Amino acid sequence: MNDKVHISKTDLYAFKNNSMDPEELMSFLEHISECTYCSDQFAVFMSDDLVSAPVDMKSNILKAVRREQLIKGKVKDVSKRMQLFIYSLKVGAATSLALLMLILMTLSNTGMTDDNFYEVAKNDPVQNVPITTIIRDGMDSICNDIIDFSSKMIK
Amino acid sequence: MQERGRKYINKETYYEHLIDTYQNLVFSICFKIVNDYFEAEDLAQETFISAYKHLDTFDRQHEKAWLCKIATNKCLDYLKKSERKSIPTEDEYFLTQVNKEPSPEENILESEAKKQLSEKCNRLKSPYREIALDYFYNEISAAEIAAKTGKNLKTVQTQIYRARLLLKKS
Repeated sequence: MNDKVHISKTDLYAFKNNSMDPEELMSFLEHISECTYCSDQFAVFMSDDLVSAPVDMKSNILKAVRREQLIKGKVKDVSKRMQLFIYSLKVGAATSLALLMLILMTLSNTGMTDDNFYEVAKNDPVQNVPITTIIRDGMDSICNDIIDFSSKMIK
Repeated sequence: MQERGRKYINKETYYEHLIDTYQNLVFSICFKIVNDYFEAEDLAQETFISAYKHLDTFDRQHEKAWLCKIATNKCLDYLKKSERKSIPTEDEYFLTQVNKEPSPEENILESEAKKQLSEKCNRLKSPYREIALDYFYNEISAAEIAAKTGKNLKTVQTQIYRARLLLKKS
């Protein structure tokens, strides 16, 4: 059977009477599985000679569907917990990075590097400022920068 | 159900409507293709489960053709996988040539299915034979079988389960 040609009445009767060879049967079924028009014709043809489905088939289908929904629900639950974990990791990483940047900025504002900060702080009493003061000053300067930036944006 | 109304009913109700309306058709298609009562039951169930998974994207038009396509695909996969194509024997071939166009009134497929089911059930050993004949062939419920035979309902259900496994293997 040509894939582009729709199935004929002869094909349908050949199928019904089991007179198709295996290749013809496969080609016939493949066409039906892809063509809406032919699958409709096939369904109408098959409706003339129906077999009663097993009595418990419907309940078995509904049970199977519920089971699948349950599994799907569990997978969703796990993925929600995973999302929360990833989100917590991101927040943690962002906080650490922000703190690190804050310290580095403060050090660069005071003209010190990591190497000489402790040395200077030890030797020079004027420079011996507590770290909390440095962080607070740094945060103030960042806040001022953000306020300036947002004022410019509003203008 | 009216075609316009189908679009507005909820998914679960619509799905049950599909099963109620087309379970015989889907089962018949599967049975005709694979020629095995219990394999056909499995394939028909797979068809409806697959239909449920794709129900959200289905436009609820041409539902008969849609289910028929899914069922045919399932059967094709089964045939390709197991290479259990139902090739007619020479005797069967000439027998079928005689009545090339059976009338719609003749319910040939139903008798074929019932005959095959009866043969399969009768091949089982007692007590599974009696249970299988009552439950699968005569379509008596587990509770009725329990009442009829005086067995415990749980025992009957277990025997039905085992009988089904044996019938699938046969």
